[in-house]
Amino acid sequence: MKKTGYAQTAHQTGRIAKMRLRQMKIAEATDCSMEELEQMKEELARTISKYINIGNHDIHLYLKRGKKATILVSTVTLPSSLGDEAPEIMKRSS
Amino acid sequence: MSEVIVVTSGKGGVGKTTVCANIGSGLALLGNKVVLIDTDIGLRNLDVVMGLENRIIYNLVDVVEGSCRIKQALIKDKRCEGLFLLPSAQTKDKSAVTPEQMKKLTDTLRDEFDFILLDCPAGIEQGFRNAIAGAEHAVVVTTPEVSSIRDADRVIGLLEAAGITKKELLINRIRPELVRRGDMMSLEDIGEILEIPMIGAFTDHEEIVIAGNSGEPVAGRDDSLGQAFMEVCRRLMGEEIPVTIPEDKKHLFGRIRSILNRK
Ligand SMILES: Nc1ncnc2c1ncn2[C@@H]1O[C@H](COP(=O)(O)OP(=O)(O)O)[C@@H](O)[C@H]1O
Ligand SMILES: [Mg+2]
Repeated sequence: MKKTGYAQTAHQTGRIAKMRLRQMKIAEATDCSMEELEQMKEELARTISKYINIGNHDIHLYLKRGKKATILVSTVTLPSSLGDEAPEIMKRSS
Repeated sequence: MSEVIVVTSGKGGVGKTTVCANIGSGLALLGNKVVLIDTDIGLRNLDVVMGLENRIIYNLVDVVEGSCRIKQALIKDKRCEGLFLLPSAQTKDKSAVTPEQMKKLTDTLRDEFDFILLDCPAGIEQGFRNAIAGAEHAVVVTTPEVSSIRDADRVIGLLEAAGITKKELLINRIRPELVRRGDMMSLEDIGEILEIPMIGAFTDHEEIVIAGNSGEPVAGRDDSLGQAFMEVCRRLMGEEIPVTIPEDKKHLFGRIRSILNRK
């Protein structure tokens, strides 16, 4: 049989579902593709890393739906030497 | 004061018609005068779920076109005081009715009924626009699956744009054993994604399939499922009751048995 490229991970898939839904919501609200969003995070990381020692994975995006507007929020997780634990807000980011 | 509530979802097959039938009969059991309107023109279902398919003479399109009076088309459910159904047309298509006509119809019905419940078709086209036209309150039904939740999110956005500010979430067909082992999103997860208050949560339940066979709603029955529908109705009437998931006892026993067998 041919090999597929699917990961076939059948473990805790509920979390994967939630992460994908978050990404879809951001992509739909911003009218950006997933690729563009990744690119945006990389560019943000590049800029910020000039000042703070962070990497690509330290930038997170999430949406906040307000009454009048939807807000795209970007958070930066600081290296542990600078900050304490990830703030509450990080639990909601993708 | 009367209230017009649309039961909608985006995706088909998630339980809109089932929910509509059960909250309709539940609200009537609580003493309200209720009319259910099947807005799925061309694919009528609600009459069958309610067990009233043999009593249809006139339908929604007849009423809107003026071929009969509203009273003539309303079917009174003899098993449940205060419950009426306005069935859909089987042989017309969605364009037979406009949102303006639906708005006029629901406004007329307000004089007579406490609750006007609209069973919305799947999709976000004309059938959806018809169903939401006269409503000020929406119950959004979703299952815990990615595609269904995504559609619900889309529909919530459209309801918002249409000025329907009162929106509540009903999560259907939960499989507690999958949630427990992390392979299905929990109520909290779904609530966090969709960001609207929850009005009810139901497991995948055998009794719903069985009741569907004989055309009898389960609301009001003396079991956890029947009572859970009554709680949704009480919440619709303004009571504050925390949302719990009624477990399917047969599944529960099955699970205990399978655990015992494993030993
Ligand atoms: N909680 C549930 N448990 C088991 N079966 C269900 C449940 N909810 C709905 N169903 C079944 O799923 C099918 C689709 O439901 P229906 O209410 O017609 O969905 P919709 O109106 O959204 O298309 C029906 O056969 C119904 O009996
Ligand atoms: Mg239906």
